[in-house]
Amino acid sequence: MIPPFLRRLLGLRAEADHARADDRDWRKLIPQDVNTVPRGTMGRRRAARSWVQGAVVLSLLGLMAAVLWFALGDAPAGPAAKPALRVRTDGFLSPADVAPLAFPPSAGSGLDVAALRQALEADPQVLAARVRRLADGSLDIELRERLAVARLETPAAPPGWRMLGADGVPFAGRGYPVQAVRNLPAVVDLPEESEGGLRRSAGLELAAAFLSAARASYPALVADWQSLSLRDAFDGRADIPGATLRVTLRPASQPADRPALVEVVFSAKEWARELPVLAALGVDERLRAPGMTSPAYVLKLHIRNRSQPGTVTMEPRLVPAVSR
Amino acid sequence: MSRKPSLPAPRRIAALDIGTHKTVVLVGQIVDRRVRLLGFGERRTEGVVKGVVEDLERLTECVHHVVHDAERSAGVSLSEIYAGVNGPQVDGGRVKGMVPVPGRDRRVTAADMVEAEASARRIEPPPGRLTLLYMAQPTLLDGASVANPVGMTGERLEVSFWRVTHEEASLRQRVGMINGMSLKLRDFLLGSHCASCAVAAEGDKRTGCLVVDCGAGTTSWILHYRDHILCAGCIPVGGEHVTNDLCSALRVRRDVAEDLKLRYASALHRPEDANQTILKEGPSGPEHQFNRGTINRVASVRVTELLELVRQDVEARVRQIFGRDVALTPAFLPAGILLTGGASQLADLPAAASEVFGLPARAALPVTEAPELRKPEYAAVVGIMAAALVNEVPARRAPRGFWAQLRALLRL
Repeated sequence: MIPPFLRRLLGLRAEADHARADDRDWRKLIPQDVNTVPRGTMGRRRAARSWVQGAVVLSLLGLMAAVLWFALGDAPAGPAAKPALRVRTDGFLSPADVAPLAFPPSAGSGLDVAALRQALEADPQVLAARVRRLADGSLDIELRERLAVARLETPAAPPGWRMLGADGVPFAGRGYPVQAVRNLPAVVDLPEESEGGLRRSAGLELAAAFLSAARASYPALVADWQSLSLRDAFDGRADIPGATLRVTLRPASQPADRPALVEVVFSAKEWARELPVLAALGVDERLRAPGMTSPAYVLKLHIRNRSQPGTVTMEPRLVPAVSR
Repeated sequence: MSRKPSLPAPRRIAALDIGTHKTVVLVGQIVDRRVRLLGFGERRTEGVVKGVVEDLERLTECVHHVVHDAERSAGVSLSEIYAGVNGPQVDGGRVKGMVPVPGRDRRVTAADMVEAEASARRIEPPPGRLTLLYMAQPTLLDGASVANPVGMTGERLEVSFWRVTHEEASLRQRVGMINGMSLKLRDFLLGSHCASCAVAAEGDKRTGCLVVDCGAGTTSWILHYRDHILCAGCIPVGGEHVTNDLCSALRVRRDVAEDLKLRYASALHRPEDANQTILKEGPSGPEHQFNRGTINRVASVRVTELLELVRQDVEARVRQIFGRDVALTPAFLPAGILLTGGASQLADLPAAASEVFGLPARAALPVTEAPELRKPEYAAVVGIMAAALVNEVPARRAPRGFWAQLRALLRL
């Protein structure tokens, strides 16, 4: 409806003017009080019909939503349907790495998102997964990966990387770049039961705890570590007298103008106390001191108390390295 | 860069016409400035006699049924409705506003028009009556009729309207009745104006015509003169009076009289009709025997009286406007008389009207896309839809600018 002033400005005069007229205009003087529900029997029938229409529409909408929910959510996808993947991760896995996990050949003809999530989380490299099927049929996968603190190195291992998570869980480091793997210290001399496999063990848990603590607190030290030997760790049984964690340093990290530090020996029981000692020790000065005549030294951070086999005494000392 | 003209969003409109004989509700949808009919409801009116509500409860029940039928037919729930008004409660009168044109150059401005219209609208309607709407009449500048005086020079600007008023009490009743059905009253529309919207072509209105809507209980009329509505009125006499007269004169039941009126009655009495006898069949063979001359005499007397009343009413109103007697001649109303409404189906009514008014007369059907509504009894409700459409969707403006006018010219 064109307002009256606009009509006048446009030079229009309506044949019959329904605009508000004068002070006795019915629109001003008769307020309209529209009943929400029409009166009488007929009114109830009209209202009921209106509600029935609304209810039918709502039911249909609900049915459609339910069908859509089941179709997109839990209904198994057909064998031919391999939806596109959208992978978001905080680690190194790529869609190409995730696809074999999401659609394993053994999964059969159908796969729902809950099973998909379980399949993804069954992989040791995946800590947690969230899977949604989007309206366009694609799968949205959000992953939280287990991050490696070390790589496992055994002669009998199958090809590919074997990584060690901060919680001691070994996993295949799919998607890890070569340089990132090389920068990680290697865990060597693994216990026999974890040789060649990816099984969790107490020794690996001890190594993981040690390396993750060292990485968190002293990353500069860890950067020079080449490997961690579990040869004398007795599979993580730290209470055994003489249980040690032997860290080999990278040769390139040692200056040429002083004797090299080739190995640091930690107590398997007291490594948490020894790490700050090592950081504050001033190894470089000690190695440059007069009298350090051997070309290579081993730093032992403790001494075993032979009279009391269960105790460890902190006593850092440099001993000449002997070839084994 | 040419812009595609934006079309208004589809809206639903509903029209309610409460007549003495029947109540009709139409539901339509505005699509591209036209109304597409969605649903239709019709019932015999109860509680109305000669256009006056006598039993509001029965009327409410009846209207509610019709609304319900229309909603079911259209498959929608209505929330607003346009209602037509007619009957003796409706009255009209001319209101005039005059302003002297100020300024040294005496050029009329839009502000002068606003002031003149406001002064006309300040005139209060009679006590107990409420204004329904204003119908624009020719604007006079120094006594000369002009279409749009803005920009012209003159000394005295006169703007006048035909103001339609309604009795306040019955108007409140109607608003309350419609609100009680969970419907908001969008607006009241004058029944005779709506009928003219349905049956009169723009050319008829431009040249001048009298539209007479012959209903069952009332006969309303509206006079178009030089593209304006000059005046409108209503006579509380309609087609039912002919039926009543036949009942009394022939001493028959009402349904028999109605049947005789529809099938045999004529608005003209011819001498040769006296030779015709009508045998009215009853359930067990011939029941009554009537002389057609008698039927036509009774009908023609009543119809002539009705038309005379209309003519007198028109002449009185025109006299009130012009301040002198104006003869209803073909020069005054070149398009003549358009007869519509249910009672206009009486045979020879145009001829009788032509005889009474001295003007050409013809029966007119409402113009609508729905063939089932192209009957004179639906002229008012179809017209309500047409008037409501004008109310909802204003007419397109004439193209402005050189290129727009050229495009319009080439399209022709």
